[in-house]
Order: sequence, then structure tokens, then C-alpha cells
Amino acid sequence: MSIIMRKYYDEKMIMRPKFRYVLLESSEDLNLIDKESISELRNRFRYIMGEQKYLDAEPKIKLVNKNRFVIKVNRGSEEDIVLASCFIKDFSGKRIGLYTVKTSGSIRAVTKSI
Amino acid sequence: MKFLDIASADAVSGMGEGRCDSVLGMKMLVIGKDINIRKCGDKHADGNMRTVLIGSAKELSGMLSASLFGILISDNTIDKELIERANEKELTIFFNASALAGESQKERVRRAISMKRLLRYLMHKKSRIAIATFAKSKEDLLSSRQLIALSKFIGAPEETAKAMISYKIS
Repeated sequence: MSIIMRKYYDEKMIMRPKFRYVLLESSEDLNLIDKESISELRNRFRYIMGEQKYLDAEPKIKLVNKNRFVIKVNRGSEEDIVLASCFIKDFSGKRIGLYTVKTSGSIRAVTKSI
Repeated sequence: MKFLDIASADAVSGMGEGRCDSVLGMKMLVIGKDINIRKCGDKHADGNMRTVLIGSAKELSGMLSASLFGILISDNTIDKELIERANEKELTIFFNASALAGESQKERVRRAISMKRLLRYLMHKKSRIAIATFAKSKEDLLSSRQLIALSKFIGAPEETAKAMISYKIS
């Protein structure tokens, strides 16, 4: 690879956003197929984390399978999501518990457990 | 390193017997089976089981004995004499994770501040410290990663946070 191409490649790798995928399991089925439910869950995370940490994390709910779902966050914010998940104890009027099953840098590693 | 948690039989059965290890990454100590929880004022005998005594700092001060495994200071106040005596008897001082995680925001902030102060003092005095959920139902349970995050939230460094959920049961 030429020096110019190498420099371009290195700069591209530095600029590329990096993510973490957190697999969470709920004690009850949250029915996250519905857009309103997803929005409610994201609002709960925003309320607990605060505006600044929420913007740093930019959590997105990626895959849903019954009571397991994957949250995609910016790298460095996975600890904040894990901590926030401890404090979410009710959802849509039901009492729930959220458990962190796995965290990984690739969605493939996390999808195996879903 | 095996991570441990203390929970009631209802919580463990609600989660599923084998799932506590696979999902939460913890070995469960069941209350009433592997470990005994007693409140100050209860007159039941400890028997042969390891016992954790729960009470405020004032209630606990006259009740420490070498037969106990640990204590839980429910009001999170710093009682220097109590902590010194607990250190002499090599008792483990527990923090209640579900009390911190399950409260309203106002209560959570107040409790987190008092736990932070207590933890800082206990680390300075090199006490044996641990954190457990003492879960009454499956909704109160937390995974090992969540407990480590909670320990860091109340001021423990990374190594201490891991040690707080891998205490020895002798």
C-alpha cells in the first residue's frame, strides 16, 4: 500500500465511529415491537442518564426477541447504559427487572446469545 | 473468580435455577438455605448457618459476635467503634444493592451519597466490604456486571468493585 493510501486508511479508521452492543434481558416481555414502547424505553434511559450522558451514548434499540433486546451505544458509554439499566424497575405500569447478559464490540457475538 | 450474590428462594426460583449462573453470571446464596439473614431484635437462633445481621448502626453496636459472617448497616451511618469492632472480628460489611437500585430518584440520590461516604471510610480503614442484592423477587436481581457498575457508582475503584462481589464464604 502506498504512503498516501496508508495515511488515508489510517485517518479513515480513526474517524470511523465505534460502537458497543449491550444485550439486555427483561424479567417480563416488554413488547418492544411497538414504536411507542421503544420510545418509552428510550425516554426512561434519558431520564435516568441525563441529557448529556444520553447524547454521548446515543442508544438505539437494535434487535428484539421476546424479552431480550440489544442496545447499540457509542464506545465508552456502555458502562452508563449498564448502570442505568439497574435503575429501571417499572415499565408500562408493570414491575420489571433488566439484566445485562453480554457486551461486545460486534453485533454478531451478541446475536449468538439472543 | 466466582461472583456471589445473596437472594431469597423466591427470587432464585422466579429466575430459574440454572439461569442465575448463565444469565446473571453469579452464584446465588439462597437465604434460609446457604446463608441466614437476621434483623436486630429477632430472637431466632443462628444455628449452623452463616448469618448476616441487619440493623442501624446503633442497634448493631451491642450485637456483634464472632459467630456472625457479616453485617448490613441499614442507615449507612459511620459509627467508628462499630466498624473497628467489626474489623477486629473480621466481619464483612455489606451494602444493599436493591435498596439503592429500586428507590425513587430523590431517595436514590440521598442513599447514594450516604453509601459513598460509608464506603470511602471503610476503604480507608481496610474493612472487608461486599455488595449484594438481597433480592426478594426476580425483579430485584442484578447481573455481575451491573453490581460492579453499582459498586463503582458508590465510589469503589475497579479492583475493589470486583472484590466486593467475590467475597469468600468460609
